[in-house]
Amino acid sequence: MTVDLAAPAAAAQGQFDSLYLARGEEVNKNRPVFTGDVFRGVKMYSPATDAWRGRDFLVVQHPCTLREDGVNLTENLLVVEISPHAQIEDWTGYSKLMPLPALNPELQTKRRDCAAMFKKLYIVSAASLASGERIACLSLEGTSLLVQRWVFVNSRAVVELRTITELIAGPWAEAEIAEDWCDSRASDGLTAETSAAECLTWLRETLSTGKTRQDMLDDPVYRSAVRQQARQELRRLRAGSQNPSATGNQ
Amino acid sequence: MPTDKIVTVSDSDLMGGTAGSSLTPLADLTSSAAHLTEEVGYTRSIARETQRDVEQLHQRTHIIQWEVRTHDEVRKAASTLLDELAELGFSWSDIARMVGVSVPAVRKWRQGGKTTGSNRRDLAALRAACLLISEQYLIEEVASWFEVPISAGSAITPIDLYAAGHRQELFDWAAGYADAEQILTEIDPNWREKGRTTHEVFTSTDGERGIRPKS
Repeated sequence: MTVDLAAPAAAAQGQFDSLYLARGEEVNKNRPVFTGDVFRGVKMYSPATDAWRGRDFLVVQHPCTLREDGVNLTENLLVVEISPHAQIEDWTGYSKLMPLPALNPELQTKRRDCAAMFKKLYIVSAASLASGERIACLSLEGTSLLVQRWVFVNSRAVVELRTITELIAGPWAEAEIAEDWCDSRASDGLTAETSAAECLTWLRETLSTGKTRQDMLDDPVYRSAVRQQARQELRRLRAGSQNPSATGNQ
Repeated sequence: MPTDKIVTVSDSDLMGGTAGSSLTPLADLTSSAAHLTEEVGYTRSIARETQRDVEQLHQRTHIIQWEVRTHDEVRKAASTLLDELAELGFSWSDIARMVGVSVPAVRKWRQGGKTTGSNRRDLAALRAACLLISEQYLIEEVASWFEVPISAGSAITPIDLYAAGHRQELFDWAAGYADAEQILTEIDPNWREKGRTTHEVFTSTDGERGIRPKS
């Protein structure tokens, strides 16, 4: 059986919305940085011109290696540069790039459609990345397509999209819960960093089964149960924040 | 429909008769067997048509029941419906996919943003489908049920069925009236080829998950 690089589900109809979780102003600042996030205007020093210049990057580092302590981004992050690029029809080709059609849907210029160029690799610090503006987050489907192409360009091996999605669905679900947690705790006055740490501590608690909730997210059977528990825990924490005298560990 | 009387034929008749019994002519036996086959075949056709009619009728009544539940649910505010769906354990991205909108749109609704009548009806329909599936077919953890592939040979989940508009197939799967192969073949005859994998997810010795070729 031959396996080709995959295309977005509705690519044949010229529909690429399913690639993205959010673009432009839709991007939620509380979402943890994840593989496939696009940053605009990241400041990079250019020795050739002896000047700082803003560049656009896409994060290609695998979700499991983005953070050493689970909360703060690792010091150095692997990114690839984004350039304007016409839409491609055949996703099985053009393996040295990740197409980003309609990355800037509001534009009518050539910058509307872009691509992440795998040959233009950079290592940036977390601080540099933060100097840019996050302008897009890929969806689970988009992230799986990115990982498939990234694996191929580095190894010439094609792994089926289904298997890649199975691998990253757990970390993806964790990012969704963290985003929700940070949104909810922001109304209690907590910073995103504090909330993310609180969420991670809760996810990493070892349960009576010997597993953590983070482990459970790898299995689609248990994901919904972890989300339900997260909502219950958030209610408990928020009740404690609004009425400190009633706070107690349950 | 044939109205001739059915002639009972004993084994001994078919063997050509025994001493002392009268012999049935071979031509009569052939004719009787043909009548019998015709009558049973006719009954079988009737039974098949009746089964198909009953299946379609059941599917129609199920859709009507779903619409009635949807009508009940649509009275609720969009934010209430979203809360109820989230309480079941659905992720925002899965809810967004099943009602055909973006995740940021769902976030706006949660924060009290305006929805169209069509949006609210779609949310109500999803909530009603969950209620029907859990109450009628006794599926306890409905969000988990939605998230798990229907066959080991395919990645298609009930979420995919719902999002792609295969609602009848979804209800038939929940009710146990259709098996996974039947449903997958109906929606994509090439599902076996598309679902085949040469790699698998495994847990490495460092405790992290990874991908390796299947042995």
